[in-house]
Amino acid sequence: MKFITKKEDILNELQILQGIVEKRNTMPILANILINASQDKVELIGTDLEVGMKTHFSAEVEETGAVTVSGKKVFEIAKSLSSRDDVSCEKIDEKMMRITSGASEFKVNILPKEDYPQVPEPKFEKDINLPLEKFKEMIERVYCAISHEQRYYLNGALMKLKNNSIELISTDGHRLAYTCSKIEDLNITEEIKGIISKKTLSELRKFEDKTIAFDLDENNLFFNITNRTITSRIIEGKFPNYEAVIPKDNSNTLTLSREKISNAVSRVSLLSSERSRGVRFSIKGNKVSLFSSNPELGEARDEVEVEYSGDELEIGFNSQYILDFLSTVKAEEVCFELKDENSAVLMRTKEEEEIEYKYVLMPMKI
Amino acid sequence: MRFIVHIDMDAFFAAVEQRDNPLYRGKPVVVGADPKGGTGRGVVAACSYEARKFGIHSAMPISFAFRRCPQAVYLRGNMKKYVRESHKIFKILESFTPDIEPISIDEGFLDISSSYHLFGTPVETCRKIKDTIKQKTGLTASIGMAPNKMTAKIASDLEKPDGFVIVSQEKMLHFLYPLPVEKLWGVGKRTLELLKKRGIKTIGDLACCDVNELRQLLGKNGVHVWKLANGIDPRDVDAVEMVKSIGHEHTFEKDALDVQAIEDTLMLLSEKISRRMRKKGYKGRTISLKIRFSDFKTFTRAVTLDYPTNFVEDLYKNALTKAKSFKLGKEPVRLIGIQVSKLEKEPQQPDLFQQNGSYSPKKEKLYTALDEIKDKYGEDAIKHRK
Repeated sequence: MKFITKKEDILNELQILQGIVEKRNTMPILANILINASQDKVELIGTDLEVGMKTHFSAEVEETGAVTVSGKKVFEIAKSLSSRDDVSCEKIDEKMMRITSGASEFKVNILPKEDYPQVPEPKFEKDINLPLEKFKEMIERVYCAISHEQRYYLNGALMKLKNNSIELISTDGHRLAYTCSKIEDLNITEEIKGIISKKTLSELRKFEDKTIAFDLDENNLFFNITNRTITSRIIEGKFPNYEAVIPKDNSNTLTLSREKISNAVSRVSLLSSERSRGVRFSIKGNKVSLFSSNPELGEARDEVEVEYSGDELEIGFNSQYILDFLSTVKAEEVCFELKDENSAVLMRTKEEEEIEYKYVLMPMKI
Repeated sequence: MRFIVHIDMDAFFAAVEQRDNPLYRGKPVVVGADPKGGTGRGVVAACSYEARKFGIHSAMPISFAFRRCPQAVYLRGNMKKYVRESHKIFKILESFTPDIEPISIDEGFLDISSSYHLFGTPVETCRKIKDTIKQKTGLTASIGMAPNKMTAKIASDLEKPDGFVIVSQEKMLHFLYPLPVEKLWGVGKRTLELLKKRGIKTIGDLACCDVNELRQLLGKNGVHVWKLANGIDPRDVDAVEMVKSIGHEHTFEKDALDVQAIEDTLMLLSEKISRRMRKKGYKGRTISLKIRFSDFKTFTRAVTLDYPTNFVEDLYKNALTKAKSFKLGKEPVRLIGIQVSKLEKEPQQPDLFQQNGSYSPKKEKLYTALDEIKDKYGEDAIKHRK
């Protein structure tokens, strides 16, 4: 294998693979990427067995062939090189690859390409194209509520595709984020459902283009823009019955200025207890009084003017969960639909937005 | 320069009884379980210095105590009264410094480094503390003052009862070195044996050892005790009240072979602990079972849950599982106990989706209601079904 390319061409693609290659040393080969030079392009593949990425760049290929090499080291090398000179990569023998650029020379250890795990091959025959900007906005709305715990089926967001809508749902058991966007004719005949891992969503946030092509097989979801394809193993397990926990008849509606409540909650939470981050809301008339205390630090209070016509209520929340919602939405005014101090609260923007967003939060006793 | 004070009341429960009943003064007094003429079970909670002369000490089985001194005054004790006295004593301590770390009902650490100047010198302050306690409660305390907690504790114990031992920074090593090595915290029976084999008898012997050798011999604890032996103990007086565990144990009237009786007792203990935890607002993650067989062999087994709890069923189920790992019904059980530790007081975030083991506000409401019924109508008014 031998090819010559521009520094920027190889560096951009190596950069995008950094989010994929395994950092924990569970299987050493997963810290590597596969470099595969064919006729006039070089393909790069990274995978952690759950999420894989395949990309390519153009190069002058003198000799076809493939090697695997540390994804992190080859990226750091490419980054360090001068932009004036082209980069040449050449397999010396079964153990070494040489990278040269100008007077710089590196010899890095390689492993045989046969050791590298297979990454499933998508076909993209279904011709499903999702509007990328909108999809990324939806990811933003559910990202914070994705769990990172043992219940592995919560370590991602559930995606539901119908011909005229995209839905994303995430939950960590304490809160739930639901978002839905109406789309015209996605070319889908039967509803498609699957849990996308957090890592995939995080990578998709970095993509830029008008649309993103989508495909799936039994075990994997595929996303593609131009030269880059993400393969995401569908997270197995039953996603909880989220529809049942979205409140439908909470009769007490509290309308707040997003900025004001957000500032007040941030302030008061400074003295909340470090683990539970609890802040108490006392809602009475057109006023919300906020309170937090921590025996080791002290206590904090604040007040915010609101619109409210429901029953007097004292209710506690993890302030971080509230701030996650308030920093995700951009609307000036938000509504909390409340029932009582023990029941889940529905949070939303006051005015309906193009992308529907519901945030459900379980209160806690403080 | 720190001035750390350790205060330990002398034979606290017994002293309170002797104070309140002149007939008991000068006599051996034992507070604890009913000795029942030598067949009684349970243990000694406290005993007067007169009783100690007979070789009686706290935590000793009451039957042993009775054998050694049948003529002693045996009292069941009055916990309410002792708690009241303890509050009085800690109130007095609070008038000297806010930096108080209570260790038990009759023992605590004080840091007077930043407050002694209000009362004179550090030594004068200690004298005042001791005198005020005597004057206001009629009880004597032993006091030790030193530059660190470990030395202060050793000092208060040295001239008990009515002790008053001051150890200055300059004389600290001089004070520590000749003392037997078992005076140090962290030197228990096993460590002591290992040290004795090496000819290490005094704190001074230990201080002169090579720390790496001690590490090999005793592991981490080796480094710890070496530091203590050299007078190094930077631990602060922890002013926040720290309850580390809540537990109960029960000594059977007759060693129990009946599995049913053991299970019933575990349920009773679970109910008691659960209720006490809720009263104090605690939840805990670690549930330990203690079991003592008729031959006095004692075992503890613990399990740590991934969520904190104070619910009866969690305590009972986990304690029972641990109890069943022993041959219940084959070997007679003398004592059984449950303890909950890794306590926290944090409010808990309930789950949107109810699942096993997750925290439920509904359940909490139910238990609080049950507690109220018991408060009103007594412990037996309503019970948990196993």
